[in-house]
Amino acid sequence: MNGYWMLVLHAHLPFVKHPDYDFFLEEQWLFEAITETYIPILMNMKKLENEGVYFRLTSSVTPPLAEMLSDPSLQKKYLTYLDRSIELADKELIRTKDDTTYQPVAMMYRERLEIIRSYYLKDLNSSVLNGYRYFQDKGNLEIITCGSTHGYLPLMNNYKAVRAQIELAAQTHEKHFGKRPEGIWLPECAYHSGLEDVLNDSGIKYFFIDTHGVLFSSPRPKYGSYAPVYTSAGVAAFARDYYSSKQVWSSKEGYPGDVYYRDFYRDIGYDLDYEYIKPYISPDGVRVFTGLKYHRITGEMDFKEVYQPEIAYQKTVSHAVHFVAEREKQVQEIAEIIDRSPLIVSPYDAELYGHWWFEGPDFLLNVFREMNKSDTVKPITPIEYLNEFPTNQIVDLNPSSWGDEGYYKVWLNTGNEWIYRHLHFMANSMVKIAEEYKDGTDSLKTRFLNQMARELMLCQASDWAFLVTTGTANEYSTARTKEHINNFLRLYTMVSDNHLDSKYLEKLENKNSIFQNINYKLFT
Amino acid sequence: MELKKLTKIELMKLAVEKAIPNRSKLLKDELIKALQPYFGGKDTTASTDDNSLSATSKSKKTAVAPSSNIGYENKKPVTIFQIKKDEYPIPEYYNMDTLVILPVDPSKEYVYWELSDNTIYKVRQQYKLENAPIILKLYKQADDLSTDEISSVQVSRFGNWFFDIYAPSIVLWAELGFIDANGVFYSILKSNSIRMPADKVSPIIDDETWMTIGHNIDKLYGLSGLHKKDLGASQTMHKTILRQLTTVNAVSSSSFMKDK
Repeated sequence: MNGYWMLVLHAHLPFVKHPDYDFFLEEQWLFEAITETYIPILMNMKKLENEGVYFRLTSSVTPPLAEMLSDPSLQKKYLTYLDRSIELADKELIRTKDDTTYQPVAMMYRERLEIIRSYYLKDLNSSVLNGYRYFQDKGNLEIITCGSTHGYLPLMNNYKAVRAQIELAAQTHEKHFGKRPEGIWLPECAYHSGLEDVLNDSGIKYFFIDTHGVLFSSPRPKYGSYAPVYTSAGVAAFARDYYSSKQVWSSKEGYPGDVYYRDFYRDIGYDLDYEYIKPYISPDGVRVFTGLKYHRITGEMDFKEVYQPEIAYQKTVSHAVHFVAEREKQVQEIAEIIDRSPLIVSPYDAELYGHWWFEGPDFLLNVFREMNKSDTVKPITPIEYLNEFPTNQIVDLNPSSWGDEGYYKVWLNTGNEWIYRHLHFMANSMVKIAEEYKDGTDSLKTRFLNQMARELMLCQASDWAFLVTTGTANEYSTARTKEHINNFLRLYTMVSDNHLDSKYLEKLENKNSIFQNINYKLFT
Repeated sequence: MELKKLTKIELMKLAVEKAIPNRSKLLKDELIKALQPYFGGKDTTASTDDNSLSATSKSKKTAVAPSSNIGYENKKPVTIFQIKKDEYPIPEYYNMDTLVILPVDPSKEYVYWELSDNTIYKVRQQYKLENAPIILKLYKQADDLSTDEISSVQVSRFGNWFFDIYAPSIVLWAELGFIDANGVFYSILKSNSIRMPADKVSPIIDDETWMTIGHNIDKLYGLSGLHKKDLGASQTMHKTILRQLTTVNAVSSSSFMKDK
């Protein structure tokens, strides 16, 4: 054995809940991710377990994602979503019954959805979190947390606001996974000096940082990005490996762009006759993704060949063989230079596996199968690694993130800078008013203060600034930001004026219902 | 209805409705100003109070005109007393003295600020600075811990600014103040201090690293990805992949989320 591979998946979605609507476009983000990413990955872990394959992975389940996955009304809506998908898949079998080209793909989706439904109801007992907890107990999976609402920590400008994000995350993690987290995926992998002290205060032992966060640290890191370092607070930092990221995502060597893999954008929600597809798209008649996609990437031209699942699956095998062989080469090369077993850390957004790259979960399945045969590289979790190598170099890390160009500009630019003035005002006001009521107050006012804390945190989610920059859900993100600012200011006014409108409070408590047990004193 | 014609009590009612922060401490003119973003209308206070700073800085602004991204001045609604359609209106500013600096990357800094009516009034009384422009300055801490001014720009009483100063690993802060006819700067607000991120490998090597790795350190860093153009750019890479997966660009907006 020469070295280790650490797979880290970051599973996150912002808190989106619209109880007033039966169908809400942005709620589909969660449902698509459950069907396409979370369940397929869990089912493949089950396969590995049954086959006796040695596998280890680390995954965040961020607090907003965990809260949504355990929300009864969203669970109910998910089942409705799944049943509608199955109903559509049934109709597709009839529509394509004389079509030998497309019938096999339609059949693949019909069977797949049925398996997912049965796994969700029987194995998971209607809660995806049960699957995560199962593999945590088995020791295959290390679950880590994130900021309580994925707030962008380096831009908060308020120590207590940062501390509240971390401490509430740890508490919420304990509620869902039975113990406080030992590790954290920093929101957007964004680090700033001093953060390690906050992490340490909440009992967190390690986090992840982008490659240049370690390469540009001071003094120079002894092992480059191939071993963790300690911060002055004693919290360990693991650096992202450049080459294994590139292998999966680069245009030249990247796997998901293979012409035999499924094309993401050709979806029957857009392709089929309007009257036929109408019951399965947005009720207002806007075409949306149904998840049924019948074509492969084919090439750069508009013409797309039909998708052939067996060929695509074989591709995941050959790509997995290639990936493991490359890691072996990498380990051998590094092992000649340094005096300990090299560690390769590969973090990815979980949703890229399955949602974007349909075959991604099968690729991971086959990577673990291949690695099981390797004498050179072995999967490992952060805590396992730190137990084996408790002595590490102490450095000052460099502020960085995993966004475009490696610093903060994706979340702070001319398009979204306006958000921060409000976030700072809200956080400062929250700290002030929490201090004022630090000895407690009556139960109604306590609820107001707690809801203020929820609105602030929901507003802090880095997703909104991110989506404004990418332009993918600009309108929704802007509206959500303004909604939480407005809610917060109204609650703040009501508390300051001692003019408490409990109907208004109840409405917000029901809609923005994240963190049932939140305590505003987090901000003192 | 014109805000100016309302009584203070009527204005206060509107202020409660719109959740204007600190409203109980505001004078009538200040209330009108704070409510204007919600009801549109011209800056009626400026005409009643020609000496107020908002009027001054506006007239001065054209003379210096340093940049295009100087805050919100152009965004003020022109229509008079039309309630905005937004379901969730938010204030443009909070009438509180504020000056904050945030790092963006090793060569970009973001600053936003706001001077309260109260402060402006007091300063004018104290320094007798009628018509004095408001100046935003950027400072750095030099190697000998002395202070160097590195940039200066004329601004209005609230807004934001992106500086493009290359200052890796350097400590920076901003100050906001007035400048008198002789060019003397009167500092009113000082921001938080930030240390900018580094953009290269540290010159500091500890002995142990040198003993174990020695000259192989360059090779090791090369194998860590140093000097790669796309180092620290997962997002760029993911975008490339998305382009491959993308064939129908037009529908991308309705799908979800991540193209980091």
